[in-house]
Amino acid sequence: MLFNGIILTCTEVIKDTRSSSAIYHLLTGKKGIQTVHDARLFELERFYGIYPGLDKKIFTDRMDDLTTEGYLIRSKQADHSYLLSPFGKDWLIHHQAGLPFDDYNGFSYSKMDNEFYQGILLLIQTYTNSYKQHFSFIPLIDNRDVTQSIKAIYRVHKKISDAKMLEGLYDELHHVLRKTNPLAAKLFVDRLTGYKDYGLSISQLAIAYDLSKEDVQLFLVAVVHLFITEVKQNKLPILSQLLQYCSMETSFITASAEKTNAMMQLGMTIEEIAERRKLKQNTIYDHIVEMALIDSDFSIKPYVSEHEFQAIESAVHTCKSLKLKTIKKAVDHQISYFQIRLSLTRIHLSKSDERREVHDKTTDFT
Amino acid sequence: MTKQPISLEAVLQQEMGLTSFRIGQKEIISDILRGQDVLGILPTGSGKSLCYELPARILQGKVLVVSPLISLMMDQVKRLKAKQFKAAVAINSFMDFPTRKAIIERLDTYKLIFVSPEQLQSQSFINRLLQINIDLFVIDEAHCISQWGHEFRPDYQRLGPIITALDNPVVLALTATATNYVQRDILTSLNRPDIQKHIYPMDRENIAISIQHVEKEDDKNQVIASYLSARPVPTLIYFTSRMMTEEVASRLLNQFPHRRIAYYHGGMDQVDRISIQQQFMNDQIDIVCCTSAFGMGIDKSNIRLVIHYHFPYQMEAYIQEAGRAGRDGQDSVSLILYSKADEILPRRIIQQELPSEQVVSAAFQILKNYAEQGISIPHSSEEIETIFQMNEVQWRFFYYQLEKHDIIVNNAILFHHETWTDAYRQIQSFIQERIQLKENKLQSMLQWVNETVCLRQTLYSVFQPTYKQPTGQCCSNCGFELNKWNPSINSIEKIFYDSWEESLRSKLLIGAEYETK
Ligand SMILES: Nc1ncnc2c1ncn2[C@@H]1O[C@H](COP(=O)(O)OP(=O)(O)OP(=O)(O)O)[C@@H](O)[C@H]1O
Ligand SMILES: [Mg+2]
Ligand SMILES: [Zn+2]
Repeated sequence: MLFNGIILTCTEVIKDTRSSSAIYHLLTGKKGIQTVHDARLFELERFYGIYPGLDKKIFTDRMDDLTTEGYLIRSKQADHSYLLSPFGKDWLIHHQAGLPFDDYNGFSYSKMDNEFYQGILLLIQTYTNSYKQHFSFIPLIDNRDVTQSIKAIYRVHKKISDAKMLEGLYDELHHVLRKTNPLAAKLFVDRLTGYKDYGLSISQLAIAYDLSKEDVQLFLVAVVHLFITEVKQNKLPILSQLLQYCSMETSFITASAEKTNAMMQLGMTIEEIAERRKLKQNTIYDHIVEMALIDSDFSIKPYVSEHEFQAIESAVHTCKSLKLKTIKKAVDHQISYFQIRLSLTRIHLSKSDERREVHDKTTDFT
Repeated sequence: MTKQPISLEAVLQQEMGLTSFRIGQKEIISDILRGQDVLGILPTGSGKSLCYELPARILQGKVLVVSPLISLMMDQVKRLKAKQFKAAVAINSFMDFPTRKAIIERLDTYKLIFVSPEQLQSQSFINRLLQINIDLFVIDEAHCISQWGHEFRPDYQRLGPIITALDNPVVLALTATATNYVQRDILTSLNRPDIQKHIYPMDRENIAISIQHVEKEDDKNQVIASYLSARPVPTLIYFTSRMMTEEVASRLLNQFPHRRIAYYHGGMDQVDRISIQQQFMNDQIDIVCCTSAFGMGIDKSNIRLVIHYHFPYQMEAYIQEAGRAGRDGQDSVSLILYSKADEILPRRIIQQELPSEQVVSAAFQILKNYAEQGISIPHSSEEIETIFQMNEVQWRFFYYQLEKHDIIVNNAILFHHETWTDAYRQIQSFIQERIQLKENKLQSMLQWVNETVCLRQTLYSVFQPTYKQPTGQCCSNCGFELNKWNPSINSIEKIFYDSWEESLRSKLLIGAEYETK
């Protein structure tokens, strides 16, 4: 039901301007310019990367089912594209309110949500076992970063009793869970592992609550995102420490990119930065593109002149392509791949152009 | 090697808190410490792991253990850590790259290192191992070299040269099931003809064997239902298909909503696999419907009943799986449900495991063209599938054969007319031989399932001359009766909470002191 709802919501705005893979890439959080661009363009940022493990076949099967059941209609204009049927629209209107769409914030959270969630699970397993003086439990999570974060939190709170910590955790969890969808809260709690009490697997939850596995997964992600939002807004002392560790670990690449940026601000050239940081120049280029992609205020002017940008933009429109090679051929040979990639993060296609691109079989968004 | 410390018993007591060795353990460990290579065959659940866990605490250098199932080695490491032996680590492909890199960098800080055979194919990893001095090279579940080796685990077959590359540490090969044929396979593959064999009878006297013949699938469900309602005990139910594990689990849940039932197979994600395995270990689930992915090495002491919904294709596999039962020594039951229709699928699967004659012939032609035109072999399994008409398993087998015959070296095709004709003939006849072997094994299994004399006698006679007197009932051909089986039952029913708040409080042990649970 939730999975269906998300697919229908996406189809409603994307319509048949994209093939259904665009939705798949969106949900799995593909790191290509096209997908990020789509998320922005269609204002579907919140769904970006909320289901990285989604199997392609499960997704296409679901699209087929939704079509057979009359929620979706295959587009006559474009292959592998769909439109929302009046029935689908109606269903969405009636069910929207009960589904936690607004809790998602994929664009900002999808990098850290999994680690944060694993952290919550391990934190609770650790404190309940410690409270029972049971120090030889088998931890649910193997991930080293998560394990380190929990150890750090445990160390910081050494003076506070386990019972007090558990009460604190209870209050924080309760504070968030009562704001979420009640079904999602149940799933979340049943998946927790305590003292000699292992949490349920996704499939066990699916059976117990008569949901599909995909729905269970998506409900849990919604809860985790709500947690992150609440932790950021409110003072939930224990969980905000956990979140700090997670965002520290997971924003590693971005942190590295930021370092590049900081050095850039100091007036260092790309060559100098690469030299100093013992990184390849191409890595530095990647950092810059990454920053431009994520931060729409980031200025690309230092790297691409107005003149060069216009040349690239007009090449995109004449070639009707976002393919790097094609564009490179169409512009002055002094313009580099790096400049093209950077410019692509700033080029907005008009609606009519996009339609043409989808129908032009030779274009390939990669 | 190392100086023999005070006495092995003292070390056992000190390091592991155990009072005495079980059969075979001391003999094997003494030989290893003396620098002797050992092939150890001991029954399921008899404590083979101890044969390398103890040396790991005594030897100066490291102990490397090759283990076939990732979940198995992870579980073992977790349990060692839980027992305060922190110097154990498992390296596998499920780890994310930074974690694995960090562990490999600090490899010298560990004493007991578990690896998958795939991991050992990496030259840089071997180089790292050479820096840290491996004293003992353990091959757990060594029958994999032979039972699956050719088809599924070519990497297990490559261990011989790896041992040489590691400057020949002492070798310990362990298994619960190995016929003479398989033992020979192991020795040849490891190139250790002089290995010291420690072979003990592998029959399990506390497991009664029952085979029930049924007409159709639905009868199986009824038999299972009758067992589960009469004897609610920790149970494993084995299937050969992943889909069926899910199907039967949900049917049983409908039928017994208050029993704690789950399924487990290799297609599930890692966290879920650990969670189901741990729930079962922890007595939170009583019944697991599973494929053979849940089995080898699983060490839960109180499994009372192992049901085979489908019979395995080899006696060895059956012995492994049934051997999950009664590891605490108490009377347990292995039940096989057999219907005539079950024979069809295994035949087909055996045929499909290896590429057919025509497919191999066509593949050679394609490779020849590639060699002539200087085209390299595609990487993606989809391309392989469409070009060569082989699935992944078949391709892995075939590729290994090509490497063995020097047709592919470092991913490049080498064309020599003569070697190719030869190799072609050899590979074709090898495939026929393997299929024949598997069919023979299946045939013996079928013959045994349809046996009318004592099942214990006929099962074990393939492996050893005698067997022990059973402690409980013998088998269905010697008059096994369900109502004469009285396992201790501490059936726990599911707890249902009214609200998530209540459930959360209970999970977080809030007000636990006042609760009467
Ligand atoms: N000497 C001993 N005294 C008491 N318990 C022991 C001893 N040796 C091993 N055990 C216990 O026996 C159990 C089974 O051991 P283990 O898992 O090593 O069996 P295994 O021979 O490897 O079986 P499988 O063939 O199924 O893998 C373990 O729980 C172990 O702790
Ligand atoms: Mg074992
Ligand atoms: Zn008998």
